Amino acid sequence: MKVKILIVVLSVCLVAGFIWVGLSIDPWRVLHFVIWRPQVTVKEVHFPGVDKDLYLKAYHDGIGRTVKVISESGSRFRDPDSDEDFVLSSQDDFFYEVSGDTLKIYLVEIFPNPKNPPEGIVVQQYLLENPAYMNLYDKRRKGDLHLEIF
Amino acid sequence: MGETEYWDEFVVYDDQGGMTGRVSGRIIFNESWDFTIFDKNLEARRIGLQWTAWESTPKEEFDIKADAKISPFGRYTRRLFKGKYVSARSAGNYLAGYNASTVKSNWGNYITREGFLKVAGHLHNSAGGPSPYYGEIPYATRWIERGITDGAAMRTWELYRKK
Repeated sequence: MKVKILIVVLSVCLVAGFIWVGLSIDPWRVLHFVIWRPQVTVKEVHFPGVDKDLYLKAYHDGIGRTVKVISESGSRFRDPDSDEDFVLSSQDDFFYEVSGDTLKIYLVEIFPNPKNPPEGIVVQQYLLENPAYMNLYDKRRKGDLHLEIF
Repeated sequence: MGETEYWDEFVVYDDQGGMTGRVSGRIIFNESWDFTIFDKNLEARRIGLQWTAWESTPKEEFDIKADAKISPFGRYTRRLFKGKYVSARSAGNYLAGYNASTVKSNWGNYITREGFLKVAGHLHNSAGGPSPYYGEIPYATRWIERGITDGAAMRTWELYRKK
């Protein structure tokens, strides 16, 4: 009986140890592997003019699929919702800046507008041709870029 | 100037393998991917196959298109590789195949072409797909395969050199 209890206790300790080590290395990765969800990158964008936030999220699924989202929710566990969020399946980077209550984004493929866009914030999209898009990367390389990249 | 290995090397494909009709990118003339691939492969050999797989996910160590120092124009950076101009995306695919073929797992084996493409295909599309691509898109597969073939040749050469 004692041996059984010892084995159970040791097993529990071992599993808890693995989880603890995993969580201390990279908690989001462990959660991703445990519940098999896409790896999510989140960036907060603050609008001082209206004192609101938007969140830029990238859902990386597997090795080659990325869904980019502009959302009012910063939760990693909320799936992209094309009714509420700007959702685009693309690995392309986009450049952005905040101007008052407006988020200006410069990109090569346009986000479809959601049915219920974020209230109080305007999202303006500027579609760029290749030379203009590459010039932004070039400026970033030279440190001359005032835009953020996501 | 120069040339590409495949006519559609600089065409933008979406994640499902569909052609968008856009041609994008910036060629960095007379610069090569060689050192990057050599350097990243050395690192992969040092950390082992399991960590290499981990670090090959988006935005991590071996995602070379996401590293602004290596790929200043993102996945649209074009450099020389094997005498032809190649995109950062293709160079990354080659590196993934080369790593899979040259980095030993903890159990002493290497990943085969089929094994690699099945994993890649399932990650790409949860249902996987039929042979020969198993769900992975042809644009990615062609450079992955070249990496695996070159990696296997390198392994043979290293084995021969040890004798």
